[in-house]
Amino acid sequence: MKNKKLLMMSFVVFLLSGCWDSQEIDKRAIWLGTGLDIGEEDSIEVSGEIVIPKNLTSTNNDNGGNKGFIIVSDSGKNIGDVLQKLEGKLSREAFTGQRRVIIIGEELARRGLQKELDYFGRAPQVGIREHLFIVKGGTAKSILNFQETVEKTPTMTAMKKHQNTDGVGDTALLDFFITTNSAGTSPTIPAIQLSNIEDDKESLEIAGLAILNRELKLVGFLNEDERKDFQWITGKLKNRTVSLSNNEGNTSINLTKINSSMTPQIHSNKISFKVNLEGKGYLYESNMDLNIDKTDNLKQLERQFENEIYEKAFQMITTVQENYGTDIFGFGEVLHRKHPQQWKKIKENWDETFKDLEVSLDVKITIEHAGLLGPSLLTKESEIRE
Amino acid sequence: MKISNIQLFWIIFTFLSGNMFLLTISPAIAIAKQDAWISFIIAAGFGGLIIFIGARAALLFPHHTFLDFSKLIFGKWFGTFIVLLFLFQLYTVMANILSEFSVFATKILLPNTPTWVIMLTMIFLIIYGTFIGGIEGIGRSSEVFGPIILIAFLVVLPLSIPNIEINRLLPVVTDTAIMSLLKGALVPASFFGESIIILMLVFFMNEHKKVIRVSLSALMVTSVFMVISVVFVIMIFSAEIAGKLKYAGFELIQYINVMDFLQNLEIIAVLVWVLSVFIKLSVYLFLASYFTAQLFKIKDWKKTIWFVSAVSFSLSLIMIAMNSYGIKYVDVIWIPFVLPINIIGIPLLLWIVGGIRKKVIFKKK
Repeated sequence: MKNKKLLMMSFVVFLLSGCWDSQEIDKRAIWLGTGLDIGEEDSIEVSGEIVIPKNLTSTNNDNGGNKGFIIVSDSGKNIGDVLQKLEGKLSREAFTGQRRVIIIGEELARRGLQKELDYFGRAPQVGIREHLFIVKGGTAKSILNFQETVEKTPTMTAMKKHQNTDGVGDTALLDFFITTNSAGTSPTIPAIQLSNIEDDKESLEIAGLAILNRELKLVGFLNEDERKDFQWITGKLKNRTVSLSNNEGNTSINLTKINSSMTPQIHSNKISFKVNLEGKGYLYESNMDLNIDKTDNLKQLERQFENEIYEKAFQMITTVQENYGTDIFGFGEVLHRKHPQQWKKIKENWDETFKDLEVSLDVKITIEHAGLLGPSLLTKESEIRE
Repeated sequence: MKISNIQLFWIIFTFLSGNMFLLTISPAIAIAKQDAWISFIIAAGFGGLIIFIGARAALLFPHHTFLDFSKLIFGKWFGTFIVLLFLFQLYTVMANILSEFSVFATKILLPNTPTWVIMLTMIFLIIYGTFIGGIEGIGRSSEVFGPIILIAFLVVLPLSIPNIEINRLLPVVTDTAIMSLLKGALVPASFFGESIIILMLVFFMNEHKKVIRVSLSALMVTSVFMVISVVFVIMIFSAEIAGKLKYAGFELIQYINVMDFLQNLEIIAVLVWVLSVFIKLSVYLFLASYFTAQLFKIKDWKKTIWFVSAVSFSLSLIMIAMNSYGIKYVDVIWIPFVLPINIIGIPLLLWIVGGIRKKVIFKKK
């Protein structure tokens, strides 16, 4: 009986001795961001941003000039091939469980992404929740090598700026995969760029949206304002400041309740779309002589804002239709959902239909209040225009 | 060695939920696209029917074991043959679950660990549980594990609400024909069909009055969670992507990110799955050992546990090898043979013929 118990207890050794695949955290290199570029001879160049926890946590600013991260890169047939090569360049095994950002150079995006991104959905270490960026006018490596003072690493800079500007955030990769698989929407990817602010100083900034076509090749960019209009139309905008200037002065509103709808209309086999943009908000700034305490004047301002937004957004839709001819708004998908039978007939050459699609736009702005002031503090009583 | 109604409820819930959550969502969506949730409702209806028939058949002779009453109904030889068919099902499905379990664990958690190590660990665990507790022990452990799974579902599923986009469910039943809805229901139906174990479990119940109601409500709870999960998966990943994912339920939980703070909750999915697999394998191990013992007239059924686990361990090694040749257990054995014969045919036959025979036997008396 005693022997039996001893035998059982010795079995426990196998159960308690820990995990076969365990790896200590201090033996690992934390891989935060991945950069993809065209390498030599049409191969792919993969750069990894690896954080050095020790340098990240130091509270004083001068940590001996040590950056909080290092960049490793190499080129090869595909991402797996390069990761294999990179192992030789790192003294620790790269841990990708915290990977958050994928950055793609413009050149590579123009070559096409059809054959590049499978790894990010397949590898089991990390889910498909990731930020995805295309670098406007540059390589991914240049972004990864850029360090700003506020955030510790470039990928964190890109991530946080993207979140700040109301971007799609870390659903970008999944959105990209979903739109790639959908016949009625073309993919878009948030864009970032390095821009000169002073002679030799650069800043990393969100630069609108990259437009891709069906073959997943980059065809063009929308700028920041256009991106916001785009997100408004597709229902992904949360707030927006719109400014307006005319001969009287200038004014801004901050829209906080934003809605949109896309309605397909079919008249005798001709498809058109009606887009409604709706925004409610408050007056943010008014450098005008107008007495905005008066409801009529506010109404008048609302109309002016509606016109302003209408023109910009309509212009953007037409540009996308004419210059890029690829349905990034997902009009096709809306048609698919609302009129599935019609969609079956035309989905084969939807992009052709999209180019000539008639889109009407309707903007409705409501200014709910004018902040804490009536007329501007800078306007004399006598100058206030009723 | 008896189980109560409550224990039966938790056994069936635990038995079904974990495995279904992980393995059935993607195959169903791959076929039925955004209407896969309808397939799940169809499959749940089918499962309910199976439970009803199985329980009714077993309740004809509630004080006889499965082997005894099938002998009683069909005579010695054919009755034994039926039990042999079921033993075949039990042995192979155990091996299948073991191999699925170890493959998943190596893929997600332990890439460098040999699969047989994971299988052996699990086997020793279920042998221990079954040997010590028998069906009563299994019932009691499901009384603990079942609520854990239920709470995990209740806590985790709402966390993915911020990610959903309702439009992705549209259009309803126009892209897919009725045929593909039924085809999509096939995989979930074969998992719901596993609840045919009720046929063998009724004998071990301490009261027989509420068996049908209890087991149907367990099925009901499971299917409600499954339908919600499927709807969530479609709303988050869209049907096209979800159909391509291997473990959509797992990805659903991995995708949760609340305020950049609550992340990497996939370990909960793994927990749910391990608990569920443990109960499932234990139930199968118990039933297989019990009926093997009865078949060979071995008095102590515990002696056959070792035999059963050795057989299913070797079978599961074979299955992993077969898998790499593209031969899948569900497609090759379960759907063409087990589903029509063991899950639909035999219980129906037992119920009908048994009903007639019972009247005849009673009249004689």
